Amino acid sequence: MKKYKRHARRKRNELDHGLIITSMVDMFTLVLLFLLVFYDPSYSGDSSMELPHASIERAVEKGPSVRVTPEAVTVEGKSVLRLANGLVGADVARSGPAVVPVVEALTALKSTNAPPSVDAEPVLLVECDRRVAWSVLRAVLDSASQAGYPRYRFVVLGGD
Amino acid sequence: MIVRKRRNPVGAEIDLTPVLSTIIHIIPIVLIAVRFVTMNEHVVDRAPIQASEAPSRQKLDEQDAERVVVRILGSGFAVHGAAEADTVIPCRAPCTPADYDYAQLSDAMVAARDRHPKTQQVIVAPAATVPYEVIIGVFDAATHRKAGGKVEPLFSDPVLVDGVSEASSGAGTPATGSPGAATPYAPPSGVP
Repeated sequence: MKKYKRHARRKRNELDHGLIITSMVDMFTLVLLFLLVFYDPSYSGDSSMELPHASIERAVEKGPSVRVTPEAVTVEGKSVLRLANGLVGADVARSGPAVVPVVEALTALKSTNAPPSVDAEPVLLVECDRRVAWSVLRAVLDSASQAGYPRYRFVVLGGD
Repeated sequence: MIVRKRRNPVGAEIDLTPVLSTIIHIIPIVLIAVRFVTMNEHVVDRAPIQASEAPSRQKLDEQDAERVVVRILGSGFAVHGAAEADTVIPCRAPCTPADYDYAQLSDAMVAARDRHPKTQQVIVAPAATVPYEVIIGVFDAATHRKAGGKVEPLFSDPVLVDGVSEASSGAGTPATGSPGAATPYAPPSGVP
């Protein structure tokens, strides 16, 4: 009887150590850390936005952004101008080539986002859908210039 | 006889199964949230030129010889500064963004680089209806050229100006024609 119990205990111990998951946990932890490093919760992707491709290899820097799609112009995620058939409507208030609602939104944005140094000119990130016409983009860039953003960066998708 | 169980036997391992389970649940959530794209940028250091900032006609004529200008029309490209006369690069019908000839434009930009070694500025003048995708394609062709794994820098300072009007530039001509050839080159207003 005693011999049988000892044999049964040994067998159970062998079964308990059948699956060693420590290395698997290590692997998954590393994968999770990798993903979390590259995860940017501040970026709210827009599935309707189609950025153009370019072969330039300059990585995007962070900064205030304006997004232009055929439907709307958004500043920091807030829609400031609706477009009609991909164009700025005739009833929208203009200030020369600039569009007043966009100028106001960017002026407010500039007052809250101070540039890193006094001498540094603020730079605006422009995320523009590839289908948007130059006349619309031109109005947005002119609005940015009036609001105090004379420099801008066009965000594109990398890779050839 | 009372048998007391040993709750923490010496040498027992921590049960990692719940940890593993949690991690396996988190990974798909993060994978769904993450966008695996490389986002790069073209930098433009100047706002589009305002018509009110236009310099005098005399100044424009003086600077004209040193300018490299790419006009983007509805019917193709017209490059000033790559050769003695304007280089016209028509697009294939029906002239969608994919129909523009970026390879030939790249060749023209290399020729313009050789003719104007001192300037870093290239003026890009799109017509009003030109899609943004074409503008970025011109930026790519004008700023650098990739060949055999090497990157050859061309013009580092692209400037956007309000484009030529389609009517005055001959853009209404067929794709087999020569956009811009009917009218002499007119510098875009306000180029510094």
